[in-house]
Amino acid sequence: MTQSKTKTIKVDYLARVEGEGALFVKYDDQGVQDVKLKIFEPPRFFEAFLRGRDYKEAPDITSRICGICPVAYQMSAVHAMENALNITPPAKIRELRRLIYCGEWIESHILHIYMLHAPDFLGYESAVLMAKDHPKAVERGLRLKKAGNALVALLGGREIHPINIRVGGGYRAPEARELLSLKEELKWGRDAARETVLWAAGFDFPNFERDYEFVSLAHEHEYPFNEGRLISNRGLNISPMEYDSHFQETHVEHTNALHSSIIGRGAYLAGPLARYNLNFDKLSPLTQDVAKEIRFPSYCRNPFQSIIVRSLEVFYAFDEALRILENYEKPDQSYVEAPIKEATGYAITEAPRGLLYHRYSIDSNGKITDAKIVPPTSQNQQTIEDDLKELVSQSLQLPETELTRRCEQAIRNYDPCISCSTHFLKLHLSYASPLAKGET
Amino acid sequence: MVIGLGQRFRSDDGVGPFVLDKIRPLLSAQADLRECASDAADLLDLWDGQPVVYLVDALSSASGTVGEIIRIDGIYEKIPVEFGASSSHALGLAEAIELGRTLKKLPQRLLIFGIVGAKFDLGNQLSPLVEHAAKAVINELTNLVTTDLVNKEMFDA
Repeated sequence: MTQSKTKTIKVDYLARVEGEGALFVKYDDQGVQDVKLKIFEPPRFFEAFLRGRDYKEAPDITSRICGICPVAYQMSAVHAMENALNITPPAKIRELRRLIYCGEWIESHILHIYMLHAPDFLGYESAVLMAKDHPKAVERGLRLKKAGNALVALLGGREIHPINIRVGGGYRAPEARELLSLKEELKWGRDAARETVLWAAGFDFPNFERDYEFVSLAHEHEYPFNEGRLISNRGLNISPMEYDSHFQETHVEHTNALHSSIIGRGAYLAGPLARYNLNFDKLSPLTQDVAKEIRFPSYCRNPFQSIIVRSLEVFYAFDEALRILENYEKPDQSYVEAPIKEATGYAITEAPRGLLYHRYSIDSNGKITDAKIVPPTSQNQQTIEDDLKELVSQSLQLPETELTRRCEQAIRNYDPCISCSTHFLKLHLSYASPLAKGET
Repeated sequence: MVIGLGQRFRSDDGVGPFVLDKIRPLLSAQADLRECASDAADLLDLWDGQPVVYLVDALSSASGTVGEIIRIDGIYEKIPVEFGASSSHALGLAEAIELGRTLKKLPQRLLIFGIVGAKFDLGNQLSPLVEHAAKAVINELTNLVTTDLVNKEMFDA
């Protein structure tokens, strides 16, 4: 009997993903023996050094976890603190928060679509090489990202690590005329976002589907950003406060990032595909029309087509931003406050990459005594490895170089933010006691 | 235009913003001073059409000497790969220049001051040798910008 030869796909440093990670796949003619998405980005201990800090510092400290999705960390942080202190910002502040999140979705999704993922579908090693043959597309992407940056900068004070977000609202609310100064560019952006959808819809997609448990926020009236219950396509329906009872994090030996799973069920998928599948009817009518224009279904199980879903979310973000802009009324006060008390607060918001869970306990002086942060990339890690296992099993006939390329593309389906996923690691130290050596 | 590229809270990667902070009291009236913290692709809009751009950035190099200053003509010379991304989310300087070249979005003159750094982890302090090199770059930039202004005034007269 001929023994099947074992082959290894080894990518020591994943390109076109944020952060530092590696891929290891061992397979033969019979199938896949081992898959590891190795995150070697060092752990960053944010949850530890939040302890002892004032509750008002949480949004500013946690925003430093990420340079592309700082607003997501700020939103989850402020909502968790407001949950703890029973603060409900008024509707006008709520709208401003949706608006800044629109800006972040645009800049994050566009960076990924144009700079990181589209090169895979068009056969380029990088966006720079892609630009030589597709200069107009890349210019469109750069201008779209700039529009998202402008929204975040206007509302947050600056593009990276905004300084205008605080518990209860913001330090300053913009004048209506300031927002309206962006209107023409946002209208251009909405049209350019539609072009992005059409462009992405024209790519070739591998025929790959799995039966995922999709998990996202869901809101009664709107496509979710900051509020809602946590639902899945398999019956999950809980409040953020119940998150810890249904989800668990495990440290896996080959990675510095924790793996998340649903207790008793296993891996799940968070992010644009989950949001889209679970909330299609909450997308604006214009966004649904664009999906229909490209004959894209309202439910998609092919992770390679997440680039189309991201493009649709970019269109939605521009459409939603224009809605908020055109109806904006400056709030009487830019933030609201409440008495400090000992409490625990919970929140989940939808970062561009998916669910971002924050939980904080504070004492009667408002000092943080405990913090837990679960970013979307660590939630998707097991699903990414399962995808790779299935993908390689289905693609054994491909040459190794093509299979390696396809695996890397499959990881990029999730737009992983590796720096976010390594925010925390439990560190166990064992000290050799000098007394054990007979020393005094 | 003087651009300081880098992240203030990643130790030596903050040398670009550090230089900008020091020259601001001296040159803010003579030059457009800009900080670019993350995505080098943002540079394309910043420097597009500018007559002269001086850019300060940290280098991560296994072979270089910490504190070494490397000067590169960004238009005519090849940018070393050590000018990597200041944020792992985004384009590095070398890629941004190539993208600018492809899209015809480059300044007329681009002089890059790269300072070889030692530490790029979380922190807001520069290594001593990097800070020393930064001070030399500050002096050089002050002379260059002042000379550019004098030359422009003579040309315009």
